[in-house]
Amino acid sequence: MTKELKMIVCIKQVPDPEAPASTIEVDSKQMQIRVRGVPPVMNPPDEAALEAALQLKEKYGGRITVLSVGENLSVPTLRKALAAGADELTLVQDPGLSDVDSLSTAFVLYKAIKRIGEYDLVLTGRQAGDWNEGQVGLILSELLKVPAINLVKKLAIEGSEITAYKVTPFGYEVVKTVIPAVLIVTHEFGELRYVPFIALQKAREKPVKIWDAKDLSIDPSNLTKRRIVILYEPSRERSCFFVEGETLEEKGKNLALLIKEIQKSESYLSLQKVG
Amino acid sequence: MVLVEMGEEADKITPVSLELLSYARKVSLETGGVILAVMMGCNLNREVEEIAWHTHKLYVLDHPLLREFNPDIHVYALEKICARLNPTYILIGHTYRGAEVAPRLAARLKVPLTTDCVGLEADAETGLLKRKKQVFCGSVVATYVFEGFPQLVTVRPKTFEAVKEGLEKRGEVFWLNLEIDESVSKTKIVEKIREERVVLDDAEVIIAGGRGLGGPEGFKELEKLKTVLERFFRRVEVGSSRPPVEKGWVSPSRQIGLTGEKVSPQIYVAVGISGAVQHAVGMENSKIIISINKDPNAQIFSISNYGVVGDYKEILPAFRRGLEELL
Repeated sequence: MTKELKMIVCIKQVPDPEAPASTIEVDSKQMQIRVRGVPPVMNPPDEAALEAALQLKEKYGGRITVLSVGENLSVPTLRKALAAGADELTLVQDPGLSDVDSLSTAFVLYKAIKRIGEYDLVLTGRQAGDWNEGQVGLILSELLKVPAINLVKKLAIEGSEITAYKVTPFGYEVVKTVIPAVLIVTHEFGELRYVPFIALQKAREKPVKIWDAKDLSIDPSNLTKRRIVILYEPSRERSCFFVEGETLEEKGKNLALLIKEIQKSESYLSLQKVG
Repeated sequence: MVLVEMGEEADKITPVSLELLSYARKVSLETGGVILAVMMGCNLNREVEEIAWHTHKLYVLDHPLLREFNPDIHVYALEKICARLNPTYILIGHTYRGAEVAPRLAARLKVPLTTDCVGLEADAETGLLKRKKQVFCGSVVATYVFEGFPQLVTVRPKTFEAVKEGLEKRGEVFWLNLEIDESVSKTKIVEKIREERVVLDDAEVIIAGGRGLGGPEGFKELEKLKTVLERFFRRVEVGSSRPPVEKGWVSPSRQIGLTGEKVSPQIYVAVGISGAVQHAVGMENSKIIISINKDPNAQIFSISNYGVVGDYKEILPAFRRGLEELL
């Protein structure tokens, strides 16, 4: 028998990674990245962590608190987690949290988790769609002094024992540990379930707590922040030559001719010598 | 002092470790610092001699508990070694293991870490590392610094050239003694399951499929094409963007992009891939990019050298027949 689980899912609010590049404005003088015209989203890798928590709740019962920290959080964006089935939303919002790095983000999460109190599992995604560091969950496990399992793609709990499938370069490992623990869930776990519009409406009734740095006795001036010295948008553009043809059959044949031509070309042969 | 962790994968020193040794030499020349390397594992005799030539001091920790990669034990040992040596810079390869070990080491040493750097430069005045990194899924490149030492980073493979010539003098080798108790590990690996292991790294041609393939049967088409292309090229592999992996159409080891492999084949054929920046960062260094997509406005065409507009289900068989006629 597994008891009801107290779970905390850490979700970062990020600019929509699916949004067109034109919504990102890079200010190379002020060293700032601004996102315009598209609402923020829940970090997609963190959605996998939420899905993992929801599946555990369905199986064993329990309670899910979604925790997010940032300088300017959007309740409507994060309410999607409540609509999907989480029970409570706790936000740590403070202007002093802008530009903090992973170490300090993990520290703020740690302080918030201490204040939330008892937990069995903390779940996070593997990395965030803005700074792409992939650090917070692992650092958090160190601060909480509890076991961590990285890159979890499948999960079962029996009593207090956790059995996790961890993705490796060769396949996967079956890793066991006991609660409380931090689980870093990978996208192979699967996408977050579909959230119907009506659920978003209903989620308005669920509790939302908002704390600031002071509530957690955090002095933002002690937090580590990155100092940007160079910032630019890389160009990946190539001029594209389209292979034409009356029919798709002809296009396919022409592509074969093109490949042969590329292979015979001098520039390709010289690449071969270097490579 | 600049310390390089010599990472291992499949009982071999990772190529990125040798690349970091060449950057360590650059830093050592610029700052006058000593090059340190750390090797951790079990029965390490094999490569010690060779690595020592690229360092001033090589520290070897040989311990039965380090035979298999257990992150708890690995982090414990590396932390102890760093505490003893107190290096200015700690360089770790951004590999499967490095990406797991470095954040936990950062927490223990209480220093900020930057992962997956694609460039490094030590500031001449302050000595702080300028860390170049692709951010916002690769649509922005930022270079930034953090105050304080040690400076800790993980570096993407192929950022630097591997070290070749040894130093004038072979570095001193220190065999470390460290008590490691099994109780250090809070997790237990009970089973290792080997699935298909795909090496995309040295393929001459990669054919990659995306969401547009519509299902696992699309990858069968790519495999058929692979068989024909293998008669023209040295090594051909099949890769994937993220969605097919999420949908379980292909094994995760085929994934190319931000959370997958970064590849640079001579020819990259993208089939049914929209060309989101998360995928582009994994294949942008390909010499020639050819894309097949039925949407003429797909983003992938703007980063391709050649494009074919149309349904892959018709184009690929014709492409194959065309190739066979050229044999």
